[in-house]
Amino acid sequence: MATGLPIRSASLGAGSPCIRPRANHGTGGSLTEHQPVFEVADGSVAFGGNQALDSVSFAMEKGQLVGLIGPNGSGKTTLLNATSGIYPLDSGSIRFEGRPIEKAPPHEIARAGVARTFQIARIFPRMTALENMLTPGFTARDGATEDRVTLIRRAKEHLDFVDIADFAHEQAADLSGGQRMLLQFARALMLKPRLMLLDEPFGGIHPLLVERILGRIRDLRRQGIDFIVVSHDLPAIMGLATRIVVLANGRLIADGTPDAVREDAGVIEAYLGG
Amino acid sequence: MDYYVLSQIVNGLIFGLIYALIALGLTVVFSIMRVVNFSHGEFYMLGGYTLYALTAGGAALFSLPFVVPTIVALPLAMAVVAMFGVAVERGLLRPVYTVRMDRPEEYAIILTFGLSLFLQYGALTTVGPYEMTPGSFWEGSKHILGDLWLAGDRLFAAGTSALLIAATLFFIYGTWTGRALMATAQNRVGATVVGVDPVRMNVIAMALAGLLAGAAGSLLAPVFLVYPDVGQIPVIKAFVIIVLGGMGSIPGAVVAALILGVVESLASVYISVAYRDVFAFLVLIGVLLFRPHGLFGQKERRA
Repeated sequence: MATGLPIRSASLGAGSPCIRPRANHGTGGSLTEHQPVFEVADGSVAFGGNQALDSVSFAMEKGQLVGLIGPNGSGKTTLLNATSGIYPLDSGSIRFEGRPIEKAPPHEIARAGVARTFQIARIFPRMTALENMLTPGFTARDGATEDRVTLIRRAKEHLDFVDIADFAHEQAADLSGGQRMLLQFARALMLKPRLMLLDEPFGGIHPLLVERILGRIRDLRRQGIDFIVVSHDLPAIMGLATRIVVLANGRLIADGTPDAVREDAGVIEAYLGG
Repeated sequence: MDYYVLSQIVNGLIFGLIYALIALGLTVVFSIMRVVNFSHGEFYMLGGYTLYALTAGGAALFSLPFVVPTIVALPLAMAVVAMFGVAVERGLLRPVYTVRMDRPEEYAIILTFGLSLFLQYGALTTVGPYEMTPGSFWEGSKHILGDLWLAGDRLFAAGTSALLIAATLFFIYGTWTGRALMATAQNRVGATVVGVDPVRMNVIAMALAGLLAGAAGSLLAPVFLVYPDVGQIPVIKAFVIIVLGGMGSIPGAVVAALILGVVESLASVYISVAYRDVFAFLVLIGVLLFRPHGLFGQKERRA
């Protein structure tokens, strides 16, 4: 099993210009009932003349699993990229546990507890799976949180958690697409995240592996990790999410429970009429 | 075996070790920043001039009452060039990388090309075209065995290079920072989202490149002297080496450097010494024709 509720505090020190430590952060329990764990306000991003994200706002409370859906080019991945700092917002703000992160670089956002996976797994091909897992240890060392032995033990636990422990010493380049996805997922857990952003975690992988990932996401939610999941796999995401946010042409067009969104005329229009 | 041939092979390996120092810095910078650093040869030159200034030069030009022992001047020269590398990253390359633009590497490459010319002509106008002789590391010829004698400076250069190569390999493969460097080289975005600061990796890569090129320039300075375009030929060979070894491959760079050193030496004996610097290019053409991804390189296969 993976380690329990992720608690990480040491690396959020004074070295970070954009992510300011709060008096009592890190456990989720310190959040008040009304304070959103994640909040984007008026988020906009343009690529040339293309408004990829157009004044998107929503807030997410602790314990939610937000499914982010929408047609191709609707801005889902752009929103994840802005949240993880890869392509910052042109305007608007993003807060994680109350702290503004819209100007922070990706590595600081990752260290602050927001982990990210990609549609095409961004693993390190010429390292073994275990070495991939240990790469975040570099940052753990900055916070002086764990020694090498603990890191290796935790890495193996996480590999076991996603059932790829047998491949720990395989070169990552030799893993299948689904295994790479699982490796990327397990590697993100090494950061002890409190919020995970998953981009198409079920894309192009075997249905049995989809079931496995769904199961693991449910396990992690019970440990207190929140999720924003981008997916085209509507049956999977509708069954998993507590809340669905729909984007189309960079705008938020619907936001509600899976059942409510399923009935929403605007969503049907965006998917079928767009 | 004929001692003459043996001495050529040994000399080839000695040069191979120095070439490896130059090529390692170049390949690390290329791996991390995707920049082919055309000013790398001038890093080498700066190492030689710094060694000269600290040893013979200070006394000759400014009548300083003391000279720094050459062996002490070596780490100082390395540190100076490493700091120069960091300054180049901070002042010239980082501005390019922090603006959101397509293919920043291409602008960065042009910048390093300009820097190369600037430094060469800068050296020409400030210290002149003269060959300068820094202090020696280990004077005289040393008897190895039979009729095999080697210059002390070459032996010192080889030994120090071997130590520095070993230290570099340990740094890259044996430390957390090295792992972060490798991760950045293999997937830059993937590395940042697990918490690796890419700007810091750029700085480390440029510092390492400066350190190693500065060492190579200093170590060969007593053998080949120092002049403004002293770095030109070595850096071209380093380019050949990283293509032969496989772009971005660290072990490839070391092995290819040793191969090139020996090939050059033997070809000088059996073909003609006049063409010594041409053989590298024959090797380059051969590699590009028959094994374009190099000895240790990966065919394009990115995750």
